[in-house]
Amino acid sequence: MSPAGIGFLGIAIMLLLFATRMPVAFVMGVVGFVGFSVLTSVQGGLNMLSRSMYEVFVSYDLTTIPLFILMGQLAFNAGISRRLFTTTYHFFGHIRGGLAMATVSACTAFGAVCGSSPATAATMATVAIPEMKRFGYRDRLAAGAVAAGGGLGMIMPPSVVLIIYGVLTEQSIGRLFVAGILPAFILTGLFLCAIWITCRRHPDFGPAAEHFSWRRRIKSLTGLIDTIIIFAVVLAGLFKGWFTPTEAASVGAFSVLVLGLVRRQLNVRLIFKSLEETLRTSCMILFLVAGAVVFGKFLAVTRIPFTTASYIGGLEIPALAVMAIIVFIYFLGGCFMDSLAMIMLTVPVFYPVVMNLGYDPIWFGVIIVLVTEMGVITPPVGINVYVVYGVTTAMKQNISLESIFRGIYPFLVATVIGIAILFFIPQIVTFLPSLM
Amino acid sequence: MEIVEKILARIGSVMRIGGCLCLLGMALLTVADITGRLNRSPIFGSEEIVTFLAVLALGLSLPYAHSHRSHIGVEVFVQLMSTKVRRRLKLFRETLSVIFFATVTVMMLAYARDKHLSGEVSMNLGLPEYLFLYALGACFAVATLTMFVDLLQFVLQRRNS
Amino acid sequence: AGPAKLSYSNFFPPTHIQSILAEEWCREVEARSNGQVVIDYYPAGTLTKPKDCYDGVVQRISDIGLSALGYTKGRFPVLSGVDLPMGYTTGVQATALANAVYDQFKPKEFDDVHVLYFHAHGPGKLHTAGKAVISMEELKGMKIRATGNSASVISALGGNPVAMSMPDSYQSIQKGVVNGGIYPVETNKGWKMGEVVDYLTDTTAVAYTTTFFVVINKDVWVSLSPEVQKAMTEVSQDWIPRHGKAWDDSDKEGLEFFLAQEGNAVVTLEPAEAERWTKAMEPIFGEYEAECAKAGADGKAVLDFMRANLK
Ligand code: NA
Ligand code: NA
Repeated sequence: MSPAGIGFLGIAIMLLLFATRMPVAFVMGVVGFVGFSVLTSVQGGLNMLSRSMYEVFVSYDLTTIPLFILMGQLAFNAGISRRLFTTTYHFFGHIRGGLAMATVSACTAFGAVCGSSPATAATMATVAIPEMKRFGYRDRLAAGAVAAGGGLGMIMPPSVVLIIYGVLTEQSIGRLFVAGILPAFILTGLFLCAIWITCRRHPDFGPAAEHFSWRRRIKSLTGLIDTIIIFAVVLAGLFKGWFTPTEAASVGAFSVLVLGLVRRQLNVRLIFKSLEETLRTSCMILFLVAGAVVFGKFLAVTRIPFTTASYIGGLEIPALAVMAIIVFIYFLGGCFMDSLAMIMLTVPVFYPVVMNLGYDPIWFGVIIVLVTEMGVITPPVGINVYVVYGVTTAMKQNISLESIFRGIYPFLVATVIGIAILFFIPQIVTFLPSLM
Repeated sequence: MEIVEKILARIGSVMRIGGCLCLLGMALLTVADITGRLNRSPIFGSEEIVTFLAVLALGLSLPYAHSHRSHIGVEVFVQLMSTKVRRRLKLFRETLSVIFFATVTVMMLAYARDKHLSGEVSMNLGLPEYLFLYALGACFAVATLTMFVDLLQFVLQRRNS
Repeated sequence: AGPAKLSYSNFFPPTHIQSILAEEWCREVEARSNGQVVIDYYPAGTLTKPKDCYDGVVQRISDIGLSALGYTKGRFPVLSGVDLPMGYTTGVQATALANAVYDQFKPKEFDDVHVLYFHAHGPGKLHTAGKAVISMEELKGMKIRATGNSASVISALGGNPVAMSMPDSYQSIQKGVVNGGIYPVETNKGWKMGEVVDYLTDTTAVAYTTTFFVVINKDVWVSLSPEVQKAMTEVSQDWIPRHGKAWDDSDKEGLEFFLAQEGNAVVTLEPAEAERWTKAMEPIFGEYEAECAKAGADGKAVLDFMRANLK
């Protein structure tokens, strides 16, 4: 059997094992390890397994995941997120789906601090989902909005994906970051529309509340104080250059801890509860990442990504068709593979093709981020969906995986529309960088 | 059997507390480094220590994560099956999971040994990284044992019922 | 039985000239061995990360690997001497020296693989943001991004080394988290650092390098036919000067990129100051000799050989 054939067989076996309810992370690890051993050697496969898992556990960039989750857990247990959402409810509760809209906007705001998409999803899931459920929101809408919204953290600069793209294609990272701002806002707007339409069709998904009087609204503003203090500390520190975006996670967790202790909302028991929940969720998420890395190494040695990319590059069809195929390939690949690994493998092959077609390099970078955003929510391997599921299960919110995957559809459609808009009005991407 | 379970549960909860402290340590150390940097005396290599603390935190939480069923799977197909099929599937996937964890345990310890013998130390502080790998391997061993005991329980219950 | 199928792992992104050269090495070996071998090439750390690359070759995760000695401190006590601040002037020079030191001493740290060749980047230099550095006193208290070997250079000069990854470095210098970095001039373009730093202290007084190895699994090497072995050895010899020249060309482009940014300037040291900087490096050489002694090797002999070679 050819390596590509073994690759497709591996994907089929992975799907079968998923159906037995074996943990997703273990399935990817087992299939990736066995497939790699078949294609190289058992010795190579065994050693790849231990090294890939350790490589994920010891990665400094990924330490932001537990630390941001810790920040969210502390904020939850200190009641900060509850007060924040009570205020939000006073202002936007009368709009159908208003809290989900506020959550998506909060994801974009949080994205200005955090460059990773699972970290954004994990934090917002901890903070926002229990609150949306408190106000009667359906699982599908609440969890779908957070899983999809997490991706906004990656589009809004700083962004890990844009840095990698910039290095691979020798583009200015500064310009790429600036180029990401408008599309981030447009995608946020599209997500808000997606929520609005969903709630029009299913009014019970995000029930509207009574109209609060302005008196009560202004009174409710005190609920924002803690959030504003924490956000101000983190943002000020980032802009003043006191710490890096990676370190912002620790600073955030530490600020919530200090604030909670000073205001006597946290005690040793609650702190330990937060730490335990964080450990459990982080262990789950990093195992997922490790599984995806092991499986990605198997896919690399099947050479499917390389072969596909060079095949598309050689096609003689109209420019728009080639671009559409490339986006579709990323969509398909994002279903099975860690998006970051896929970008590393394929951008170098696709990039010259896209440049030959006369597209702008910065524009293509932003398109790549948008397709990556799709990859983190598409089944069967959609890391953000698993993150949201893991976080909510740990918090005993009883949301099923299927309802989250169903909940992301409106946002998937919104992302596709977003990509289409950038296709036909590329100036949205290129305008701001051209001012630099 | 019960004694083994009790001991494992005990070890698991001690590990969990250790994991919590490592996690807290990660945040505190980073903040200490930032404070030091603002006063022009950064802690060189602090991010190296942070990553090793992360390894310990994750390793120590392995048995805890297992006992709370934190690793997620796709439920929807299993729910369509009969009780009998479900039990068989459970036996199958748990056995496969134990084999997988046992493999990772052995290979992690082998990796630790390889690193030890090669004389390699961490890049910035020159710390003996292999010690953390041995610790991670030990954590995986406890997790494997916990999973194995759970599997054994399931098989015995099945036979009795 | 068809051609032997090998894999080659490397951490450089596929668009980097060093990665392009490595892939060309694969294709040239294939051509010169008359199709007896096929080499699948994996750039950007897809198969093994830079830290795990050497170990990955020993354990057959990949058959061939290219990475830097500096990622695995302590594993290469003898050859890591080439990374020391010897005052390199070019990449060609550093690359030639790395291969010469290996050929002369054949250190036993490489006994678990078959060595194909080495190369090394051009002189690593100090880059700063906001403030130009032309004396050791000015460096005092400044936070400079540096890792492993280059961190000891910064410490010896009285600066504060801060270790961080390359992607973090860009943002950190931009935001003032750190005040600069010590790296080869090519990095100004490669990692876009030229966009965020303002001054290049152009001196070879403390110029260090990073040595890269290209090695193949021992069992795999033995299993190859003499023709393939010959092709690999010959192509490797031909590629050594090409890597060195590529590093120097990249440095040239890096300097052009650095100077093309508004407000960027190159500063130099007075000869007396440069001598002070070189003198400040002495403890680092002492440490190297001690490390070699621990591994049962003669560090002083290596240093003497290198100094004589660089004259
Ligand atoms: Na971001
Ligand atoms: Na996906």
